[in-house]
Formats: sequence, C-alpha cells, structure tokens
Amino acid sequence: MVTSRTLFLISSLLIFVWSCAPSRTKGLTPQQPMGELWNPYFSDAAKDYVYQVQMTYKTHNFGGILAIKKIGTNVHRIVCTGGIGNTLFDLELKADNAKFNQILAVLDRKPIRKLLVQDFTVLTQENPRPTRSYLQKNNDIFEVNPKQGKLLYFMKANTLDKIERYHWGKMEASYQFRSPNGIQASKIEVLHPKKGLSLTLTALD
Amino acid sequence: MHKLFWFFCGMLVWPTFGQDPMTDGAIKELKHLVSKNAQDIQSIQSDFTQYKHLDFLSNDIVTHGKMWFKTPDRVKWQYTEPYTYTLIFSGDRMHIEDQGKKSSVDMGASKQFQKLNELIVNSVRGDMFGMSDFEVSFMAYPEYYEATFRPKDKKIAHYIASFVLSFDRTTGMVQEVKMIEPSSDYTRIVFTNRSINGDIPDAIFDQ
Repeated sequence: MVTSRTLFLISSLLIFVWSCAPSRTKGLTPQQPMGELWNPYFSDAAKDYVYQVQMTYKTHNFGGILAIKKIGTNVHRIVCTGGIGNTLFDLELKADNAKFNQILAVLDRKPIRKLLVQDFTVLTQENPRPTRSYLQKNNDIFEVNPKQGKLLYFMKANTLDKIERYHWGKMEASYQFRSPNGIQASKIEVLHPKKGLSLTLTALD
Repeated sequence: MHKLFWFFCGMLVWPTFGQDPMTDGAIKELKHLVSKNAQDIQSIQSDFTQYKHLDFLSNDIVTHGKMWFKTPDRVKWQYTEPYTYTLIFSGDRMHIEDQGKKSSVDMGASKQFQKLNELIVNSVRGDMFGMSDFEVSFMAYPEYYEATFRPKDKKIAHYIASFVLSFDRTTGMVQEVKMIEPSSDYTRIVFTNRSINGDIPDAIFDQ
C-alpha cells in the first residue's frame, strides 16, 4: 500500500529530477534521435591540429600553443606548450582512460587535471550517441548523457556549432566552434563561467 | 657477404661522421671565449626562429620573432609570426602581452620558473659554464662547437633532460639553443641577424 508520505517523496523526487534538466531544453518537445552525431573537428588522423591558446583565469592571461592529434581509434594526444616552448601538459585520451604523460608541477592538481580531461574529452569525442533531440528555430539540439553530467550539442545546418556541459541542471562549460567549412574549427571558445576561466583556441594553419 | 660486412661497418661509422669529442685544450679555449663574451656583452638584439618538435606531429611548429637582451638579466621575446605574443623576463618577474592583454607572473613564487628564467638568460649569452648544477659534455663539428648541459637535480631533470648550446667556432657566440625534454620532444631556437652591444632603450622592456 502506497502511503501519502511515499507519494510525496516520489513526487518531490520527480520535481527535483525535472528541475535538474538543462533550462535550454525546457518547453521544447523531445524527439527520438536518429543514430550518432559527428564531431569532425579533431577526427582526421593525418592532420596536425595546431592552435594558439589564450587562457584567461580571473585577471590573469596566459598564452601558448596547443597541439592535438588523433593517434588511434578513439585515442588523442594533446600537448600544450608555454610561451618559450616548454611543455605545460601532455595528455593522452582514450575512450575511457586518460593519462598525463607530463604535467607542470603548478598545474598538477586534481581539479585542474579533472577539468582538462573533461574539456578535451568533450572536444575530441567524435561520435556521441544522443538520447533525445529537440527542434528549435535555428538549432537542432541533441542531448547526450555521459557518465557525469549532461551534454547538449547544438547543430546548425548539420554542422556542430556549440556544446554545453551541464551538472545538476546548471551549465558548467560551453564550447563554441567557428568553422567556415564544417570540417575544421578555425576558432574554439571554451567558457567556464562559474570558475572565471576562458580559453580561446585560434587555428595556426 | 663482403659487401654486407662493409655496409654494416659503414652504418656504424656514418652517424658519427663529422663530429668529434673536443680536446681539453679546445674546451678551455671555448670556455675562455664564452666567458670573455659574457663580460663584454652588454646587450644583444637578434631575430629568431623557434622549432617546437613533438614526436607525434608530422611537422614541427615554427614561430618567428625578435629577441632583446640587456645586462644584467632582462630578456624580451617577441613572437611576430604566425601570431603576436611577448614575454619579458625582468628580475623575478615575467610579463606577458598576448594580443593587447597584459599580465605579470612572480617567478619568485615558483622555483621551476625561476630556474627556467636563469637558464634562458644564461643560455642567450652562452654563459652556462658557471652553473654547477649541470654536467657538461662537448662535441666539435666542422662548423660549430656543441655543449650539452644535463641537470644534476632530479626535480629539474623531471622537466628538462638537457640544454644544448651550439657555439660559433670563431666568435664563441651562441647560434642555437635546444631545450630537450625527458620525452625527447624539444624546442630549438636559431638566432639570426644578431647585433651586439647596440643601443637598446630601457623602454623596450617596459610592460
């Protein structure tokens, strides 16, 4: 027999879960998505992806070079160097494993490692499988549910335009792509509004 | 069989052709020349090309710029291609200008940065022979001498395997600096159009 207390708990839980859904999709009608998405921006194993990095953390600015290469199926190597070429971090990302080959002592903190792994996992994941999709006037929005949090992929004219990462319904990071050809990103802007951290990647080739 | 034998002999000899360990006399002479240069040099202005080699990339990342050095410890690196970026090392501080955005880092707070700065300033002048925390080995090539500095300190060795300086055989001036990381990836900086003891206004190092 279901008591009123149990009913209250279930309905509270449902309200709580609903409130954790990203606000961007509230009011939109979910649809069943078809197949996988395609993030092409770091998918060509024959290409060196080299970007100038401008990082702003609160009032500090840093710069350097970021090199990303796909070195195997679902494996990417990511190296960021400082102004005079010294390696800041060297990360190898596999489908469900991340390994730092090298990281500068000042960056070797658990939250920083976690942030780097999260960001580059989102940026390099090629074929995320959405669980829902939503149609908007200018965007098709696809919801992907990885182990932690929730990702929304915004597609414009079948080109990946933006990704937003949510945790408990609140946006933690956004990844905006500028791509003239829909294959290579000439500019990527990563924002972590809560942390006051932003990264701008500008393609060097 | 004979041909195969000589082929393998050739392969063994080939990699070291044109390079020899320096004699004690030549090492002493080079150290004297470099030390004299370091005393005489008040300023250096030079163009540079930087090659960042990462084993997993198909091509090196190439950047160009200008470098200024003024005694005792001010160095400015201005990258001009393919992007603009400026680093100024002055005393314990590192100033950064990145497309109009300026910031400053106190290197005194990080021994790692402090050591890196010391290495950079000394390597630009070539005057690293006084640094007791490195083991040095020498090679002579037809066009230049090469000195390899390997850190004795494990903490430094964790991020720099060696610094390799190439010296002009006649002038003792540094032609190239190569910073090799433990992974074998390296940064190679080649200096060109160098001007010694020209007038460099202090304002060049203003942030």
